[in-house]
Amino acid sequence: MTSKLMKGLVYASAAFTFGMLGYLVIYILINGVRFLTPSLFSWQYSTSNVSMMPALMTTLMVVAGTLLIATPIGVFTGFYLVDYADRKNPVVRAIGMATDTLAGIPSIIYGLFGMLFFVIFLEFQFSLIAGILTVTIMSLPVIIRATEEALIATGMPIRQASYALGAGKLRTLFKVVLPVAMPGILSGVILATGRIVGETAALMFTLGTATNLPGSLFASGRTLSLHMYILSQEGRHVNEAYATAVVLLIFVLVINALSTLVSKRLAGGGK
Amino acid sequence: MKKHIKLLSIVGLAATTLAACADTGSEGASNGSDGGSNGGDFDNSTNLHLVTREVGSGTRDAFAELTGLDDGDNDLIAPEATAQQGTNAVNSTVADDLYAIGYTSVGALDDSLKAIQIDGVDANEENILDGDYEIARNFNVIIGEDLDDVAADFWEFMFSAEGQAIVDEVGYIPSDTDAPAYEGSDLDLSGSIDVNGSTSVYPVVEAMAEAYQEIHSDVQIAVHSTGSGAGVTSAIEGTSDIGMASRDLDDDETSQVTEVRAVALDGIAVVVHPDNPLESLSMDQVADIFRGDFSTWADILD
Amino acid sequence: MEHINEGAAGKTKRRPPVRKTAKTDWKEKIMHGVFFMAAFTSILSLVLIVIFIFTNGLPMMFEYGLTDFIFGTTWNRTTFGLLPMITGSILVTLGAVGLGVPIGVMTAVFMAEFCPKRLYAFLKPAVNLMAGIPSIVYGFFALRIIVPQIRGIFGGPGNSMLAAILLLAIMILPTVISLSEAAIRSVPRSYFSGSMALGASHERSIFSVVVPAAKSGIFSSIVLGVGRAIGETMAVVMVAGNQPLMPRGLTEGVRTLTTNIVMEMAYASGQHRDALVATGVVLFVFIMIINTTFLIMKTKEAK
Repeated sequence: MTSKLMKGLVYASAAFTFGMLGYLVIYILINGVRFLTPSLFSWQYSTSNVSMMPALMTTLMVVAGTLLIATPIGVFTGFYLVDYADRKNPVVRAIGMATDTLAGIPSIIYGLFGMLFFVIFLEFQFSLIAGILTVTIMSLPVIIRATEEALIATGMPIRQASYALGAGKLRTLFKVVLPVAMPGILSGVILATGRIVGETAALMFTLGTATNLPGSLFASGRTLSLHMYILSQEGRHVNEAYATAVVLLIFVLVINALSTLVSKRLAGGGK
Repeated sequence: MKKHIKLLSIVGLAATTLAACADTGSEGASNGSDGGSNGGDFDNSTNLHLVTREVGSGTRDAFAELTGLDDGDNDLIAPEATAQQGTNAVNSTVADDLYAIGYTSVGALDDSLKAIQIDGVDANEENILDGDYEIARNFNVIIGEDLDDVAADFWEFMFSAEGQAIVDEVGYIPSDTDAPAYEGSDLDLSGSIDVNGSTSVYPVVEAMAEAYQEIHSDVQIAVHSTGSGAGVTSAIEGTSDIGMASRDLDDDETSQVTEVRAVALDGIAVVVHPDNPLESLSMDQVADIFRGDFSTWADILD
Repeated sequence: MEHINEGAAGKTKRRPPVRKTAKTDWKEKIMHGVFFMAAFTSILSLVLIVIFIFTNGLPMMFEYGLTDFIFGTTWNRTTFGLLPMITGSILVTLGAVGLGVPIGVMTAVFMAEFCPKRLYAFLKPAVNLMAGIPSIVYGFFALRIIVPQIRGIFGGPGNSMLAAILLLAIMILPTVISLSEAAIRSVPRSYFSGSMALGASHERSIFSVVVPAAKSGIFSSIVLGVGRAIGETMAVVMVAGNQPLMPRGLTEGVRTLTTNIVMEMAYASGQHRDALVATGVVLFVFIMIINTTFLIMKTKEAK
């Protein structure tokens, strides 16, 4: 009897979850798509066209900049934790704990820190560089954990086989283990990308909210998410906010599709 | 076979939920302005839903001061009021709620809101210019330290006939009706200008910056909408060239800046839902309402 | 989590001698250093964050008086009593978790055990999509849909604690679902088949054997859910009403720690700004407490 009831609840929960998601997506599409006019994608933002193009480009710049810094650091950390470190070493345990802690810190704290450290203390002002460095720290744990899991999943035999053939540790890691672990690492990187695209609180006080395309690393800009927040709160542009939401949804879909594609293809190629 | 039935039932369930939701969704979108499910029947016994701007907003400060609700560092606006960040957030909250009352920039009014007469005076440009509508304020721009050539020229532009014409275009009231023509169009200028401050003044200066950059394409102007407090602070600290504030500066602030000048005028309208029967209030009533002295609409309407 | 290196250390004796040239040795050493430096970035970042948040926030708290700050109930430009926001954050988070976790776990059970393969191929990406939707889009959706519904059904201003709870319950779903699903799937299949062999029904095997066995994974999904709920900012600020008052009811507005920071940061200066950073300190401490509590629960569970 309880089983039947539980089963009913399970089905109801699933229906609620996916019904809600469908509702949200459809609602945004219905209200947003019709406002996706060409002028919303003009190169130059003006108060009359409310173009999201600069925000779109800034989003790409922030994502690229962040991944450029965070990916090597994150992946190398994974290497160190899995293949080099001695787990009993207190420093290594501290690194693990620091990563876990970083993963749990809310983005508003990152925003506060970025403002206090990069913007004020290092005098970067509201700038691309302050924004990028802030979200770099934020996305590190995602990449580290993904790398770690991917490396562990490759298992010992593959390494032993490589050692047996006379390859050194580094060579084994880069030529043998890394290709196999690649899908996992990439999915971490893609996950991080999603997080950066959706970020608002951490960027508001670091990247700033300028409408122009940032001309240099030390200029301010706004990402799509920030753009949408400002449109929905301050401007008289609710329709454009819906349109921005559509573009953000498309972003997420593309990122997810990419993630699936990449892991499928690489998994196929790796084996 | 059993599996298929399950599959069907779940898909069916999801589809029904979806369809039901999507239905209410489109409905909500189409009659977004009629107060949701409340329809047009106004129930006097309902509580007032006060809507205010957040602490530190220039609009809030100016409103509190003009209605006599200021009290030293803090104001007397009821803390129970829903606090919204940004002009549009206030507008959409009031436009969606039959029982809400809030205040917003006259320049940001549209059909989804009804502006209340104050002491029998409509909140419009004419009455604000004549001084008949009393809840009016300056949109100020502020110079902290001395400006460099480029910023100084942009400053000139803001107070030129061309600049003031833009104020009108954006929907606000020019501060200077016989401003001199802009003379700097032949100058060869390049560089960058940083402007920071009030979310209300932002659309005005942003539009001016665009017009200016069309004349001087080598000049980059970044306008940040952060808030009046931040605008004043950044002008004083020199983190921005020009600050924006939608309120007047206090003595302490004035002593720390080089120049403050009104770039535009704006009224603050007390707004309700279009279906709300309220038409006019006295200044005292406005103050009482936002102090939180009335609980239901009957207290005001009867 | 099993460590490869430990396995390696245990099996060193059996590993064939590695051909070592001077060059590889040199390279190995440098790269070892590089990897260590990279790994150290996490610690460095965390230390910097703690230093900058705490040195900017703590002095204000002591200057103002710790008890007045934590237990004061009035918050304005000159008085900084954080209790309303602390209570607000706790209540909103509890509500969201209370609502979101059961739904999330149930959905995970559905995905792992009841979902036909063809539907799964469609639902799994849907969960990923849900996880990827920016919080600002959720907030906007809640503002346009949930808030008017609450106003219509319960009266009141709509921007309320209930709106924040519903919004966050939805927002933590993907986190709870993915982790719980993974946990349920990692339960050895023999548990299920064993239970079935003993005559239990399909449903009973799942609910009485498989799900309890996945308890620890489900716990960690709750931790992350709590973390996401208490830390969410931009979506909550759009629907919560944001009054700095002690929570007065589900349909009345509420302000959380995160929204307190974001509402006033742009304007604040002097002690006011420090008070907002101090709000961050309190939030940080909360996060640490949550993480540690669940870590302890998890390790106990593992034993």
